[in-house]
Formats: sequence, C-alpha cells, structure tokens
Amino acid sequence: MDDVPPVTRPGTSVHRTADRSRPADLAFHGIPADLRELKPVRNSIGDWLAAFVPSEILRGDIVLAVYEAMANVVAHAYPDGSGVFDVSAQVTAEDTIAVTVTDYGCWDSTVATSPFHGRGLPLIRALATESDIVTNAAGTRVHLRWPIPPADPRTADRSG
Amino acid sequence: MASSATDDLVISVESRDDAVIVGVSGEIDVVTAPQLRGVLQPIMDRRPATVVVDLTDTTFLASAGLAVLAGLAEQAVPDISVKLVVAGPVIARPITLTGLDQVLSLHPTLRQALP
Repeated sequence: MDDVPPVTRPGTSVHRTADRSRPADLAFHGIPADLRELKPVRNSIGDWLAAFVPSEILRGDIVLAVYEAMANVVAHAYPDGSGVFDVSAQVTAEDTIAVTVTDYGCWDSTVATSPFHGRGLPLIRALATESDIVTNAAGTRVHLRWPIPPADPRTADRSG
Repeated sequence: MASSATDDLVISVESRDDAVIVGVSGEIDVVTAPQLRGVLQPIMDRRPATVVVDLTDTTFLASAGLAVLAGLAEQAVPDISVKLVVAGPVIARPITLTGLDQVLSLHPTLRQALP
C-alpha cells in the first residue's frame, strides 16, 4: 500500500587519509539532479579548497569547473525525469587535486549533439589543467585535475 | 533607480545621461542568470547609447551568466556601447577564457567605464 521508500538526502562523507599533511577526501553521493542542489556542493568544495589552496584564482577555477560539470548533469543527463549524481574530490599522492563528477543517465541526443554544448565544456577545458569525459551505457564521468603549486617558501615552515 | 533581488543576486538599474548602469551584486549562476537576462532585455530594447554592467560586487560567474553577457554583445550592434566593470581576477577569468573580452570592453572601475 503505502510502501513508499523514505526520501534520502545526499550523503556527505569525509575520509581521513593516512598522510596527515594531506587534506581529507570530500565525497557527495546521490545528489538529486536539481539546480537548487548545486550551490551547497559548490560552497562545500570552496570551503574544502580554502584549507590548502592559497590562490584565490586557482580556487575560483576549480569551483567554477566543478560547478559547470554539475550544471551539465542537471541540464542533460536525465531528460526523462529525475536522477542523482556523485561528486568526489581528493588530493592525490602526486599533490594533484582530482575531482570526479559521475552521473548515471543518458544524454539526450535530441537536445545536443554532444553531452556538453554551449559555453560549459569549453570553459571546463580552459579552467582545468587536465580534463576528460567518459560516457558509456552506465552514464558519464567527468575527471578534472589540477596540480597544487609548490608552497611559497616564505610561508611553508609556519606549521613547524 | 530600480532594483530586482533574490537571496543570491541583487540587481540595481540607474540611468545617467545616455548611459544605463546595471549593478550586479552576488552570484550569476544557472539559477539566477534568467533574472539578470530579464532585467537587461527591456533595457537593450530601449536602445540607450551606453549600457554598463557593473560586476564589481559579483562573486561568481558561471557559463549561464556568460551566455547572458554574450547576448548583450550580439544585441548591441550597431548602436549600443556595452561595457563591463570587472574588478577582480575571479570574475575576469571566465570572461577572458571564453573570449568575451574580445567582443565587450572591460574596465576595472565604474568611473573608467562611463563615457
């Protein structure tokens, strides 16, 4: 009868890494593909970056590129209705910031000839040091990467 | 002086001689960009000599906002001079990376943008 499953909110989890000097990973699972969901995720990524990326320009590049990837999911991944997507962000052992946006939809080919159209994809490509987009039957995964610039030697020894 | 406001975007409109100054405070993202387009369209339809979009207090500019600004460049031809006031690198980045600075003039302050 009323066996409607409970509505679940997008989960956020933070995993501690073994290396104490490396920031914890950031992960969002099951974000509803809804425009209103984008701002809180964007703000969380900005807060996460603020702890270890001093450059306002680099932080701005990353936040905007991730936002554009998420906005494309909402606009195009689920033409037949609702869906969810995941965002994960981590600093790799090579001191690279790696962000992945994953959806489980199928891009509406009647709307656009490619998953991304307009200014979103060129902007993502220009903002990210490395970007690649993989689409298969399961969905689309956008990988974005930026190397972390070496710390300024004048401030690097502050932590002792 | 008129204004349009939501929690995330506050837009003010001021006419000064032959120029219309549109002040945009807050975030221009995929949610708020239609609000900006809605304010700018009737202004462009009136064909003032100059339209200044002041992004000094804009904190975020996504591609949806870039599309609105690109639309201004197209509609400006042949008789409207559209100018952007861009104070910081975070807003200048998406504008220059997408080549919008080639079709719209950028100025660091409102004073420098005014005719």
